[in-house]
Amino acid sequence: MQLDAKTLDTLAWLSRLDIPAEEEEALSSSIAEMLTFFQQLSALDTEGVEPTAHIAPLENVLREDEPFSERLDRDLLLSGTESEDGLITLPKVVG
Amino acid sequence: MAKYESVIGLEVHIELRTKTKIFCDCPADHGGDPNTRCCPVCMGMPGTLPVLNKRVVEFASRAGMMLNCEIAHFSKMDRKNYFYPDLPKAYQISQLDHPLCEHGYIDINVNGEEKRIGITRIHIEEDAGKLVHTDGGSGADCNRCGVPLIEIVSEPDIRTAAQARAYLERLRELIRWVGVSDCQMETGSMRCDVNLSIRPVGDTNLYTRTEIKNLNSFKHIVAAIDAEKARQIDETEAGRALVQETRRYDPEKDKTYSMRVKENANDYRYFPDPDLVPIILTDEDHARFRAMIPDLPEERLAKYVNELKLPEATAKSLCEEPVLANLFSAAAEQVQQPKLLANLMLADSDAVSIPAEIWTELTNLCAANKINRSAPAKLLEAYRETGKDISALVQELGLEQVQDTGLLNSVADEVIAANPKAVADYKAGKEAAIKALMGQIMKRTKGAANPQEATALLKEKLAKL
Ligand SMILES: [Zn+2]
Repeated sequence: MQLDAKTLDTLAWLSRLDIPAEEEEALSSSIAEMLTFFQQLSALDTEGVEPTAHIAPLENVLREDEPFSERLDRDLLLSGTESEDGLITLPKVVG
Repeated sequence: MAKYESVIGLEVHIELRTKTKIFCDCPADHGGDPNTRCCPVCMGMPGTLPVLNKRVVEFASRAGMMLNCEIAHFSKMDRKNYFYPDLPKAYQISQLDHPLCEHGYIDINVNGEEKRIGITRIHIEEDAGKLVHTDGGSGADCNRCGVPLIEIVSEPDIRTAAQARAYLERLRELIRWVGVSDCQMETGSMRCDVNLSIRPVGDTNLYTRTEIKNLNSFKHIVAAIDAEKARQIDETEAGRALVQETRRYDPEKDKTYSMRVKENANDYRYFPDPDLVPIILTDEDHARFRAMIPDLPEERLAKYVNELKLPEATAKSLCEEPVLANLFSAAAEQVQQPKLLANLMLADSDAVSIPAEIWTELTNLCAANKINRSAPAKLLEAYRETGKDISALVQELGLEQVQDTGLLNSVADEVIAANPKAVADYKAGKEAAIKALMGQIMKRTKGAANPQEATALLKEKLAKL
């Protein structure tokens, strides 16, 4: 399986990754290898098999529409991130 | 110049009025300081698991039934992957190939012309957060992350801005009526994107369409449709190819402009969400939701006017607010005078906060002349404060209308004896003098006497003098 430069470029853009030019080739062949590995699945005969939405034999795991009375403190919630006036600080991504 | 028609499809997002968010128990209503209505689940922190809110399934199904959709027996949640900082998980949980509702329609009427607009699908999904831009940069507020939405996608059956408006108005009316959202464009609980292409009249093909996003009023939607149709005609006539893209409408310039995003590279890479299991709805579930679907608003209005004999204006006022109409219908079952009930309810600024049985009791007390006409307002105020029984409050506040003719009789005798001047004036032909006597009766009974009865009794007694 081959991975062309354009596909790699698209994947990098979707993941917001900057891939240095010297790493492109190694990365391409590495991803191609993984795809080849997964391609083995296509060898299976799935004729007449219903598409599976979930691997666990479960359905309707639902909760009641009731608010939880104790809220997590905002300082605790935001402790792992940079914030100002309660807002999560973001890198400039818009505009 | 060839004559063109526009081909329009609408995507409408509506917030469901649940207490909690779609996948966690954070409150779903508007307001709150930034990041005070969120938790590790809706903020997409590693190791958390979403659990679907039962009421979201119920509300979305009810919305679907109100819009004549088929409700799925099998439905599932999918991840829609895209990068934007208001979406902490970098994917939105939505539905791709098994939406909860499909194949519905809305009938509209524009200038006497009936038209049916198809509804392709309705799916459930989570809202994103909000970006706040300040001088120092951008900040994210996750309070809206995970608020439940339904997205209602129409068929490209709409041809004019007037039809689009009629569709949206009817959609809003029906969703409000079925009680799952307040559908307010101003607060963002209803939002609309427009897909539009043009074609020569008579042609049945579909051509390159553009999507106009973030329209926040019916007025802007109508104006944006006209502006975009005009632009597409100009481009086509000038021989320039149209590009499939997302555009925005600028109301000041009355023009749409391209958002110039890298459309071609966008790829949502949908896949089934492994954190959420399928939703299976049985025929019994469908029947349970079906039982919650009200009659149509116009049927209700007709019933109020024709069966309950309400004046049309009164009936319309009730039907404007679905919660109020439903409360009225419930209370009206037990009253003899629905018009009196309607008037009492409409006179109160917050009628929906009072239970139906209280309205019934109040109306029946009024109808039987057991309390005077000014009593309901006092009783409602006292009920709001104390929550006590209406009958207990009537006694406590001394609001009973005096029915005891023996008591009224003796009070009238006392008043006549105590006011010889007024009696003499009346006998001399000054009919207005009776008012002074009436005033005395009301004073001695603390306003509890029935004025008509008291006047009649006084006249009878004075005539005998
Ligand atoms: Zn949450």
